[in-house]
Amino acid sequence: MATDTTPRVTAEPPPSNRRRSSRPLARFLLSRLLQMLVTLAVLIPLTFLLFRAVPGDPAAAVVGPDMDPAVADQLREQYGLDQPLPQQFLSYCLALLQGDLGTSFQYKVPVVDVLADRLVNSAVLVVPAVLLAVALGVALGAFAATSSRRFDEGVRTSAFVIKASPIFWVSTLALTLFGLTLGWVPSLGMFSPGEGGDGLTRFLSLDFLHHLALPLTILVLYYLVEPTLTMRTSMKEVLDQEFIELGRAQGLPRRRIVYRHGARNAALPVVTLAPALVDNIIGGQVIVETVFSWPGMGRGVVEAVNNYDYPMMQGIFLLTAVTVIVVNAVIDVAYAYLDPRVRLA
Amino acid sequence: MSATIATVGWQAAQRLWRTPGAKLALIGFGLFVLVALIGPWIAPYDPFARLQLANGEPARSVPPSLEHPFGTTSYGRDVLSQVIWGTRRTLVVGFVGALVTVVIGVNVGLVAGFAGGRTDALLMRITDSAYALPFLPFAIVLVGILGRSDVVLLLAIATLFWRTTARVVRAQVLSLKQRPFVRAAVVGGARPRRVLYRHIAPNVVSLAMLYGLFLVTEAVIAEASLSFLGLAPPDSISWGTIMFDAFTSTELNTTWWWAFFPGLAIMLFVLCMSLLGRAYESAQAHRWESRQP
Repeated sequence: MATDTTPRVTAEPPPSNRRRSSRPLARFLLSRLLQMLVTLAVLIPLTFLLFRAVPGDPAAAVVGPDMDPAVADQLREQYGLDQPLPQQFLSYCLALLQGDLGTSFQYKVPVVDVLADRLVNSAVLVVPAVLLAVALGVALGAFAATSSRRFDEGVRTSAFVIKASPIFWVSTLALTLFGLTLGWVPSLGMFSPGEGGDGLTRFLSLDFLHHLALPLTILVLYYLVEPTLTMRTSMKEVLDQEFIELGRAQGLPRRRIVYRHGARNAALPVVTLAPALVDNIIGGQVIVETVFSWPGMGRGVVEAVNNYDYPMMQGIFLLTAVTVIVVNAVIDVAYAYLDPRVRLA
Repeated sequence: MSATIATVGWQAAQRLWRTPGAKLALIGFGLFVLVALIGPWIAPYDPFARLQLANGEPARSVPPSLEHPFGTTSYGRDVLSQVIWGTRRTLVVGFVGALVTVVIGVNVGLVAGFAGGRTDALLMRITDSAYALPFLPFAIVLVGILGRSDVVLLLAIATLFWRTTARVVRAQVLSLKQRPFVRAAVVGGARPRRVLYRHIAPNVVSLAMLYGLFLVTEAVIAEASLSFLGLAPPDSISWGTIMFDAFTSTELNTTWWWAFFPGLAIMLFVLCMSLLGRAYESAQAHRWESRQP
């Protein structure tokens, strides 16, 4: 970065350039799609083998425990568990394509039906948290990079300490203080008993927002660290570059240089953070959902393990991984679209 | 080869001690290791014993005091003794996890960078896939299938965390490959394996150690997270399991210290490791800078 002294052109390139650069984008899109397929080609057999590695009778993972032997045999046949492994894998893939993830042992309904609800519940917590964290992180990082040394040092030290604090510790203590001791926020679930309902409007109720406040705050705090630090470093680098000096020489107001010219360019690396933060984001979600009894996918997978509900475990695992893979691909493509240097590299 | 690596390691340690800011981190680190080693002998109470007050009443939820610096649990167990005992499991998982992971990562990186071509492409696509799997759900599911044991936990750590080391080492090898001493070895007729492990490998050791330090932290957090979710082997004691007991007791509003101190121990350990990582980085930066491609 430091050796890159060519001034960046912020103006739109002429149309002829544009047409030429759309082909690398198409190629990038294709190669990214291919990479996605490779990842899926690793993930799906891995999951298949994993769930056939259950100790004891491998059929137990699909058919369920404590079942009448006659019924178990029948189900085993129905699921093709008496067939050789390659054939099983084939029918496994076919079932996946049809969205058939088996029946949950705990709930006695198709896993897919439970998953849809869980996915929505996780999304209403995690998506706002990520968006808020990125927006706040970009602002805070840009501000820290350009403000007084003391403020900058303060931001860095806080980020350092927050990063070192395990999220289950922070959320447990926050729940104890604000939920149990002070009683400012409800301590479990998404809704008070009797509240809620079916439509998406339930996520606009005050009762929901009241339940959301604390878990959301903790997730934002936890997700905030990396975008802030990245933005701060990136901003310092950008402000050293020639086009900023040019702006200064032209006599543009400082605020305009920093935010219009500097921050816009510095924010790009924050977008590429996403794939590196998968563990952070999903890990934080699993922990916070568990601490606050939030009925999402993270809490779901822990419950599934405690109840030996193998189809549910598999469903949540696959859905989480596929979501991550798809979101990462979309972000990469969006980044390549925003920054032509990526696709030309 | 091991002699070379030991020499490099010893020189690195000496250099680290002279780096400003490293002493505090090293002392803290040494204290944690000491507690892990001799914990059972210095713990004031049996961590599993239900203690009694002087008047014979059970010592339930006693707040931090001189007698119980970290307080007692709602079952009347001494939190300080539990934290001291828990240090061992936390650190053992951290170090063994980091060691296994670094060994895998370094070897994948060495082979991918050195072999190039299809081998490289294949290994790097696998590395990409490892990035796509979120660790915690993967570890939870692995424990759910294979059972609650340390081996399964280490397996989960080793399966995913090698990815960063592999990428960094590969990049380093790519640039080392172009350097005169490696070319000289190749021209001199050394076999590829010898070039790789005798001439290239010693030069990635210091970088691998830095990632090893980071990995200790990651492994410790991984162990603590799983234990906090109640997925530790039964009867094991670590900072995470203490927090699990505290959280599931539903007594936290009266016994906050039960969750506070084990978490504080984790935080201090992680802070200590990242300070150490920073110091190590600045002590070793001269080695890497000249070798960046």
